Amino acid sequence: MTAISTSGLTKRFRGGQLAVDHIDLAVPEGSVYGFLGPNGSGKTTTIRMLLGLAFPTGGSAALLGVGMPDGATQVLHRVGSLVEGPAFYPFLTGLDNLARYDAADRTADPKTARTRIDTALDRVGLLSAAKKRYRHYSLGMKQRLAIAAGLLRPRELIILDEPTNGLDPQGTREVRALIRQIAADGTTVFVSSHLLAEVEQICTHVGVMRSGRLVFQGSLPELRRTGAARVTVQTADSEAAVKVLTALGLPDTRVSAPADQPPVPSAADQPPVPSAADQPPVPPAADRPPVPAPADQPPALGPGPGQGIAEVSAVLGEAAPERICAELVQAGIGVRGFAVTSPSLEDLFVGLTGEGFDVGA
Amino acid sequence: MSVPRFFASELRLVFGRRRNLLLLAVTAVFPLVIGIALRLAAPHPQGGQGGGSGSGAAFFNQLAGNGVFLTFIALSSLLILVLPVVVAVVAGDSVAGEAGYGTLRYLLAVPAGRTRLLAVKFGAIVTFGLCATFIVSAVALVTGAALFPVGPVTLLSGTTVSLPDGLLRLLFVTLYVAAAMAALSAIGLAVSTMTEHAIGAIATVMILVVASEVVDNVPQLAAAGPYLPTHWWLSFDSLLRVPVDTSTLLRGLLSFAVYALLFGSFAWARFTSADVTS
Repeated sequence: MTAISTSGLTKRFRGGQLAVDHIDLAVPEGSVYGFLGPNGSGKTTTIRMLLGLAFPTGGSAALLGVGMPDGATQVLHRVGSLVEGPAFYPFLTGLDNLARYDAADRTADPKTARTRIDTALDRVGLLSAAKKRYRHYSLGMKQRLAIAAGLLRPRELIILDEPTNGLDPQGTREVRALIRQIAADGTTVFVSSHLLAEVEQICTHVGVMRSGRLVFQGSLPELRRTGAARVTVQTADSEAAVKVLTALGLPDTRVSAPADQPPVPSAADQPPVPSAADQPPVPPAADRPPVPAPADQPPALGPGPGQGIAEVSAVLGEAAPERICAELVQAGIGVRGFAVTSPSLEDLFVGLTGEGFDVGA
Repeated sequence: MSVPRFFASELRLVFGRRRNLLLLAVTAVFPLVIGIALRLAAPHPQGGQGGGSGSGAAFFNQLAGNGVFLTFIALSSLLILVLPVVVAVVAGDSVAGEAGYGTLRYLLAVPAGRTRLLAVKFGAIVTFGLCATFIVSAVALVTGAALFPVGPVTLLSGTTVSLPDGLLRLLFVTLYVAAAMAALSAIGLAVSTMTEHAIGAIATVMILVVASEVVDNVPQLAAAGPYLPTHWWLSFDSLLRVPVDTSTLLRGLLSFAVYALLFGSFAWARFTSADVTS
C-alpha cells in the first residue's frame, strides 16, 4: 500500500494560476520521501490538499488509502503534520498548546493526554520548557514544538513541510536526527524541502516539483541514474577536441573554463561550437601544428599554468573512455587532463528544477 | 465524550484570555457606576435623566422605588454598545484569530472537523455572551439592592407583583437579552470565517450593529425596522407588563432565531468549502 497517492491532483487558484498541475504522487509505506522543489513550485499547496486544508480543482488524493479531503476526519488522526512553519497560541505555554491540539482530536484518549504530551515534549527536548509561554520560545524551540504536536500519538505517516526552515545548523541537525528516529520507528515520513542537501542525507525516495509539475519521482539511486556521465578533457586546443568528440558521436559537447579559472559566461547555454572569445588564437585548423608546440606560439599564449586551458566535455554514453583518450592523442591534441564524471545530485536537481529563482509565472 | 473536551478547551481559551476577562470586568463595572451615579443624581423619584433609550427612560422612574429596576436600566443601557462590543470581540476573533495565528490549519489537520470546530466556536461565543449578560444583571441587582429600597415590584403597566415574581421576570429578561446576543454571535462567527484579521472582523460586526441601530432610528425607514438585527433587542420590556406582551416577545425571539440560522448557515457553508490559506 502507498502511504500517499495522488492521481492527476490539480489546483488552479481563483486568479487562474495553476499551482499544482496533474501530479501523481506515490509515496511507498515506510519510506522517507523527500518532496523537492524551489520555493513557489507548488509543494505547500500540494501538502495543503493532502491534509484537506485546500480543495483540489482536479484529480484525487489519498492518505493511507483513504480519500481526501472527504476522509479527513477518518484518517488525519493517523497522520502527523507540520505545515508552513509552526503555529501556536502565543499566550499559552508549550504544554497548554499541545493540550489544546490534543483536545481537538476526538479520537484521542483524554486519560492518557498528559503522558502523551510529556512524551512528545521529551522527544523533542522541550520538557524543561513545557511551562514556558510559546511567545518566549526561540525559533528552533517553536519548530520542535510543532514536531512534538505531530508526535502526540503514534502516527503511520508524518508530513513535514520545510521542517528546518529558518533553523541554525545546530537546529537543522537536531531536526534531521529526529526525522531519522521517526523513520526508524516505521513511520512513513514525507518531508518537503528546497534544500537538496537536507533531503539527500535522510531520504530513500524523492519527488521533484517544478512550476507545479512533478518532474521526477523515484528512489534516490534512480535519480542518480538519470544523470548521464560526462567525459571532460582539459586542453589548450579545445576547438580540435570538440571536433574529435563530435566525430566520435558524443552528444552535448560543451566548452568551459576549468574550475580554477573564472567561469566562461553561460558556456553551458551556448551551442557546442566554442566561441572565439573562449579560444586562444590558434592558426587555421588545416596547418595546425602538433600539440604541444609551445615553441611555435607567441610567449603570451603559451600554456603557462592554466593559461589558455579550457575544459571540453560531452556526454559519455556508451563510448569507452579509453578510446576517446586514444583518439584525442592520435589527433595530436595535447591532453592535460582527462576525466569521467557523474553529475552530483545537486547538478541533477538544478537540471530538473531550473537554475535559481525560477518560480514559474 | 470528545465534543465536551474540545468545548471545554475552547472555553478555557476564551475565558482564559486576559483581554476577554478585562471585557467581562468592564461589563461588571458599568452597572455599578450607573447605580452609584443614579443614586447620587436622583434623590427624588422623578429625577435621574441618565440617558438611555426610550424604553430605558421608563425604568428610571421606577428605580427610585425599587432597586431591582437597576438591572433593566443597566441591560438597556449596555445593549446599545457595551454588550455588542463584548460579543463582537469574541465572535469576530473566533475563527479569524485562529487563522491569524495559523492555528486554524493545525486544528483542521488534527483533525478537529470543520463543522465540529464551528459548532464549538459558536457554543463558546454564546456562552461568553450569556456570561456577560448575567454579569450585568447580577452586578446591577446587587448594586440596586444596596443603594435603593427593594420590595414588591411595580411593573411598567402599573401592576405590582411580588419580589420573587419580579426576580423571575428579571431572569427571563436576562435570557431574552442573551438570546439577542446569541443571534449577534452567529453574525460575528459568519464575518469571522471570511478573514484572517480578527480586528477587521470585530470592526465589521460593530459597524453592522451601529448601522442597524441608526437605520432603526430613521422614521422614514420604519418599514425596514422589524427586519433589522437590533430592532427587537430592547423589546424585553414586554416582560415587565401584565399581561406579558407575548406576541412582541415571540417576534423578537423569531427574529433572533432567523438571524442565527441565516448567518450560522452562511458561516457553515463558507467554512466547510473554503481553502484554509493562513
